[in-house]
This record gives sequence, structure tokens and C-alpha cells, in this order.
Amino acid sequence: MTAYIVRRMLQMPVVILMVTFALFIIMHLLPGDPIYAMIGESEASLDPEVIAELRAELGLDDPVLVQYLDWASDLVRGDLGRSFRDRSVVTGAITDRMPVTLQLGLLSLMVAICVGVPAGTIAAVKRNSPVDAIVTLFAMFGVAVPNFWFSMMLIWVFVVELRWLPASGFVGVWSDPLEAARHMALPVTALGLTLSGSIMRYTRSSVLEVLNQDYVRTARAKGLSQRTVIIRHALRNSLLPVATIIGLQLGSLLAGSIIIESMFALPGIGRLAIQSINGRDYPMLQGVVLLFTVTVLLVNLVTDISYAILDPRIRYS
Amino acid sequence: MARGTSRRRVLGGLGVASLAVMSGGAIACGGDDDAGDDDANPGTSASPTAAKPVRGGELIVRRPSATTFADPHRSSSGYDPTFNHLYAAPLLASVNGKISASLVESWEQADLTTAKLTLRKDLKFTDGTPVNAAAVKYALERQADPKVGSPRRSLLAGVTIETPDDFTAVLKFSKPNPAFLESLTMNAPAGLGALISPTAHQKLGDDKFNEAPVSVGPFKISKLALDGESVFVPNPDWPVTAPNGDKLPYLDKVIFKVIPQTAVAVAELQSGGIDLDYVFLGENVGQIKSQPNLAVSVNKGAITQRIGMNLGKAPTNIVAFRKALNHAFDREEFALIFTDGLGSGGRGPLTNLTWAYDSTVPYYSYDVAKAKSLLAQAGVAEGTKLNICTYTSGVYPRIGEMIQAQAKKVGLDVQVDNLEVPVITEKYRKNGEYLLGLEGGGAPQGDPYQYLETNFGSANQPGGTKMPEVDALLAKALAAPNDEERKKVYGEIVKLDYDNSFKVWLLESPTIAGYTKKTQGLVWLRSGSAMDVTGAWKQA
Repeated sequence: MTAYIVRRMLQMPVVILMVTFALFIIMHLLPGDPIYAMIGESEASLDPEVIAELRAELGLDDPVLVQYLDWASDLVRGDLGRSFRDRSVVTGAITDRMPVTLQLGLLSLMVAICVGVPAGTIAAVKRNSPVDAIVTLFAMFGVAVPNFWFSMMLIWVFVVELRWLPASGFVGVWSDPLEAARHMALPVTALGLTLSGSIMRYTRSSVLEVLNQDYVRTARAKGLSQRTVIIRHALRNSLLPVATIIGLQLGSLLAGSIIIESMFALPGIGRLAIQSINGRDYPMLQGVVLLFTVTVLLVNLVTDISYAILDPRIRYS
Repeated sequence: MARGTSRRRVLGGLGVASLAVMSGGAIACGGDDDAGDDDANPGTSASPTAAKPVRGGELIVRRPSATTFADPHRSSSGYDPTFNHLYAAPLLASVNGKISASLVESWEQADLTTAKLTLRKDLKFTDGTPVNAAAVKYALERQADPKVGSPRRSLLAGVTIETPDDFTAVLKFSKPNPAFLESLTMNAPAGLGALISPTAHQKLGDDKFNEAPVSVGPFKISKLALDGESVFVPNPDWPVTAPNGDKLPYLDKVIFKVIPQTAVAVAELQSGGIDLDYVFLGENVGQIKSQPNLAVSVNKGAITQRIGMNLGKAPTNIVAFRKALNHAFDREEFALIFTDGLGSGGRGPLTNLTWAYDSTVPYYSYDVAKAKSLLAQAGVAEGTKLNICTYTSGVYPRIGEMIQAQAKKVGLDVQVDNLEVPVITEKYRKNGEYLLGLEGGGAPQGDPYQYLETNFGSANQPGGTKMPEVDALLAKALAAPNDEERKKVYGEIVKLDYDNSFKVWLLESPTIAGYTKKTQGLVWLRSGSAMDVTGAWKQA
């Protein structure tokens, strides 16, 4: 197992370099000069000498490969550079926004799991009943409905009509826990419930499969209660594919955070990504993508490790 | 005496807010339950308040996007003039389109090559250092440096600044500079009016200063989050008082909150989560007006939307074709749909917000038959393909779609591309890859020199087309001895535009503010795109 983890860890830098290089090339292929993003439309007539000076200062006059190698060598030293847009330090900007996205992501994942796993289990146990139909419908809703539409509906109900919750802004959990909860309620619900749909569907089918296994029949024949059979025998064994899905949901979670942070005015990494793309802010976007890549790779690793914990039969060599 | 060359003096003690209030400029909404909306131009309002201002309370203002820089000298995307005017009041103010006092006690522009500014003597920066002539020199010289990126630095080309005493700055320009005083009524990127503490700037350097700028204004920064919530509290040393002698500001706190989505901002306005939002679409007006606690103020003609053209490429290099385009669009329908009837069809580059406006200037009517005849005259066949680029945000993509639909009626096939700003700058402005570009921006107020130069001068034409006739007229305007003469020259430029159809002036859109009726004392700023909250207060 240790050898497996070490091998996976050693693969990570290669994947990171491949992803960031691909992004670097794509960014440079996109139309829209970062210099024009910096100086604005009204400055199209700016003195060519000033533009050349700016280009040289930012290293944009070097070949793309040289620019990438410069970025990668700075990365090794822990330096992600400075934003083209506002000259802020990339690591600082990302660190400042990290708590917002972490808070949104973790809480949404909790909501998705807390809703998806029990609902999927109940649907499986009550197969073909009205409860199953309702849960399945809810799951389809979660999978099919776009985040932004669901967010607007939540805002309409809880902000405009009931006036219970704010629609925008972020409050740190340590500065005012109650206000933090009020501000996070809608974004977390919007992101968490839409993610819960997939978890619910996979949990249902996985539990259904396990419930038909011989050992479950044996457990029932032993006279164990339905509750014990479901929780101790069926659910644990059915969680393996669900864990995979939860791991894979991270990509959706990060993509969803970009939309949700824009909708609910949360100053997180997702919104920073949008601003960086619009502003052709290469260093900032490289930093954000690096973070997303590392996060996805680490979570996938944790998911793989969790297989072994959930299913002792699995051994990695 | 004519504008621009006359000696003008306003006594100290009359600041931005006080002048605005004196002139009936404050927008009063509370207590006017059935009014619902005001039609106003900068510094004016339809319903002046009679209520006694209440001290205290907080005002939450929405901003649609993050500001790149808090440093009031640096060009900033997501610029919102109310944001840095709070802690960095411009040197001059503008009320009802006229320049008035702010940090400067008096000003003088004896001719267009010399300006003299005399500062108030009771001002200090929020770090306690004095606001003096050396600070004026420091601020203007810094903004003249291309590295700072102030878009208005061209106004400081060839300037020398002398400081004969602590409170007097004398500026000498190498060529006539009619737009200079106007530029001091706004901060970057629209103007050059902001002062900063030289001591703080030298100590902190550019980057750190941007995180905690030190200037002078009615408020000071309590918390700065350019992409979140920024909090401002009153500057206890701000000497400007209201006309009734009240110390300003009245509010205990002003919070600026970034909310990117307009629909979410409207929801927040309806639920009381914010007090003021001035960047929403005409279609939201009805929604706001239907709320008993909300009101609307409309600043008419503040924005012009027009179709720019690459004059160096066929068929947009043919005058008859450009005239055909001018007859092809039903401007009133554009106004009805995109401004909910609050705006009007565009008639030309100037609106009644500037003294240079001439209502007798001819404009193009909607006439499909005439458009088709002109297209034939230009030798442009039916089904000819054109491309137009516009912005990805706001109402622009939808205007693009309507241009496409109306152009089809005269037999033109227009492809609309919604692009981000840097792409528009590169492909449309620099490379001239597009024949047409949907442009938009603040209408000129005061002297329109800069605006006309930007729209018609050689330096800014898509694809680099040279405009020698316009350039000559712009030079003539600079040499004009007074405003009357300059107005005549500006009229010639407007006429030249009409005769050659350089652009299609599509829309004169208003800026619309939605606010809670409890909020009083708001004044449209000189930029016309936002409101000054210095004299604002909240009803109990």
C-alpha cells in the first residue's frame, strides 16, 4: 500500500506539468492580448513603446515555451508570480480566497452526502414504492437542473418572498458563525442538492445490488432486524462505488463553485478563475488551475485508498 | 464671460455635497410614496427633500464587479466612481454640469495653456499629513507617468507644475488643454482629480499603497476588499459642511458590496439587503417601482450606444453604404426595448448633457426604402455579409441580435460576435478585423473635446484609419479662444460625422438608480454613471 501511495505521489508532478502546460498553450492560443486586458479598450492607441515595455516587463515577448519554463522553474521555488491584472502576488490572492471555496465545497459535499446516501438507501429499500418514485424524481431533478436556475429559484423563495436569508456575500465562520451560516445556506443548498442527485442514484442502485446478495439473505434468515441488515451489512458493502462517485464529484463541485460563487457573490477561487480568464491573467489562472489539479489528484488518491479501508479484500501492490 | 477662459472662483466651505444640495440637487425619495421615480441629470433631481437629515445609519451600495485597483490614480476595470470618491475626493466637483469647488478653494484658467489651483487650507490626508501644493504636484506628475497607467495622462503631456506657495499650484501646458479642468472633477480612469498622500505612497510603494490607499475625502477606509465588502467610516477631519452647517457625512458607515449578477442585486434590493444599485437594466425598472419601499432615479442620456465602423475596408469605406446603415435601424424601437422607454434613439455624438450640444443638428430617420436605395447606390448586393463585434456583458449581446434582425430587413446578413474586452481591443480596434463594432460609453458632459477625439480622431479609429479632416478640426478646437468658438468647431465635427456617417448613433440610454425610499440626499455624480453619497442619510 505504501509503495502504491508513493508511486501515485511521484506521478502527480508529471500530471501537473502536463495539465498546466496544456492550459498555458490554450491560454496563449485564445484571442485577446493580456496587455489590452490590463490597459483597457480606451488605451488601444497607447504608445507602442509603452506597450513593448509592458510586454517585456511581464515576459510576454519571450517564446511561449520559454514563458512556460520560467513559470515552472518559479513554481519549483514556490513562486507562482504576480497577477497581470492587479500585480498582486498569486499565492496571496489564492490563499485569501481559499477559505470561501473550502467552506462552500466542504459544506456542499456534506449536504450532498447527507441527503444522497440516506435517500438513495431508502429508495432502494422501498423499491417501486411511492417513496422510491419521489426520491428518483428528486435525483433526476438534481442531475438535470442547472445550478444557476436552481440558485435563482432559491433566491426568489428565500430572499424575495420569505426574506429569511441574504442572497449575496460571505462572512467568515470565525468572525460571526450565525451570519456565516445564513450567508452560506443558499449557496450550499444550491450546490449540495444538485450534487446529491448523482450520489442518490448510485447509492440506490448499489444498495439494490447488495440487497440481492446471499449474505444479506443469510443475515435476514438469522433473524436480524431490517435496520441491522441495512446499516451493518448492506450499506457498508454498497458504499464502495458510492465512494468512487463522491470522489469523482469533486470535479463537478469545483465547476459548480465557479457558477455558485458568481451567483451568490462569494469571493472565492471560482470567481477568481472567471476574472482571470476574462482578464487574460495568465499567472493567476495558472495558479488556480494548479490548485484545482492538485486537489483533484489528491482526492482521487484518497478515494483509491478509501477502497482498501471500505473493502478489506482490495489490496494495492 | 465665456466658459473655459473666464476667471472662476468659488469660496471655500462649499463642497461637493453642499453645492449639490444648494442647487436642489439631492435626490429625495423618502416621504414621496407615490413618486416612485425621478428623472434627473447629474447633480439634479425632480424632487428636492424638505426633511431634516438624520445622523447615523449605514448605506449598502451594490457594485457589479470587483475593482482592480483601490489606488485612485491607477486605471481600474470595474471602476465605480462612488467607490474611490469616498476616500479620495477629486480636486474639483461638478454640479449641474458646471465645475465647482471641492479640495480646491479657487481655480483659474486664464488661457488654455495655464491653470492655477488654490487649495483649501483646512485639509489633511487621513495619515495626518497636509494636503498642499506639493501633493498636487506629486499626484499630477505621478499620473503623467505611463507606468501608472492613467488613461487621461495625455492631458498632462508637456505639463510643468510650479508651487509658488504651500497652497498654490500653477500648471503650464505646452499646448492648449481645454479638457484639463474637467478632468479634475473625476478620478482615474475617467479623470485626474485624485490626490494621494506622498508620504504614505513613498513609504508603502505602489503595491502596498494599493492595499491601503491614503488620501482625503468625506470617508476613510475601515475595511478594503476589492472583490467583496468594503467598509467606509466618516473621516472626522473632513471640513466640508452641508449648507445648513451640518458636518458631513451623516452616515456612520457606507458598505460597498460586490454582486456580479444583476438579478441577484435586484433581489437584494427588494429584500432590503442593499440600499442602492445603479447599474440595472430598463426591464428591471417596473420590478423596482412595484415595490412600495423602493424608488427609481433616471439619469437621462448618460450613455451612448453606437455602431462604429472600420472606415478603411469595403464596404464600410463607402459613404453611401454607411448612410444606408444609418437609415436601416429603427432607433425608437431600440430605445423602447432596451431602455423600457426611458432612453431615446441616438441622434448624434453629443447629448444635452454638454454645453456644446446643438439641438438643430440633423439626424437620420428610419427609412428602409431609402436604406435599400443607398445600398444599391453603393453597389452592395442583397445578402452581403457583414460582421459586428460587441461585449459579452449587459445588454450588448441583445442589442447585437436586434441589429442583426433589423439589418436583415434591408438585405444585409450581419454576423454578431460577443467578445471580451481584450479581444475587441485586439481584433476590432487594433487589427481592424471587424467591419462594425457595437460601442458604448458615458456621454460627454462639460467640454466634449476628449470624447470627440476618442470617437473620431485618427488615434482611435478601428484598423488605424486616418481622419485628417477631424484631426484638423480638433486642432482648431484647441486653438479656439473661448467656448463659443470651440462650440462652433465641435459643431463642424458633428456635421462632418452626419455628412459622412462615420458611426450609427443608435441609443441614448439612461443610467438608472434603484434605492430604498429611506435613503435621501443622493446626488448624481459628474460621470453620470453613479451617485455621490457624501450628503446621503437614512430616514429613521
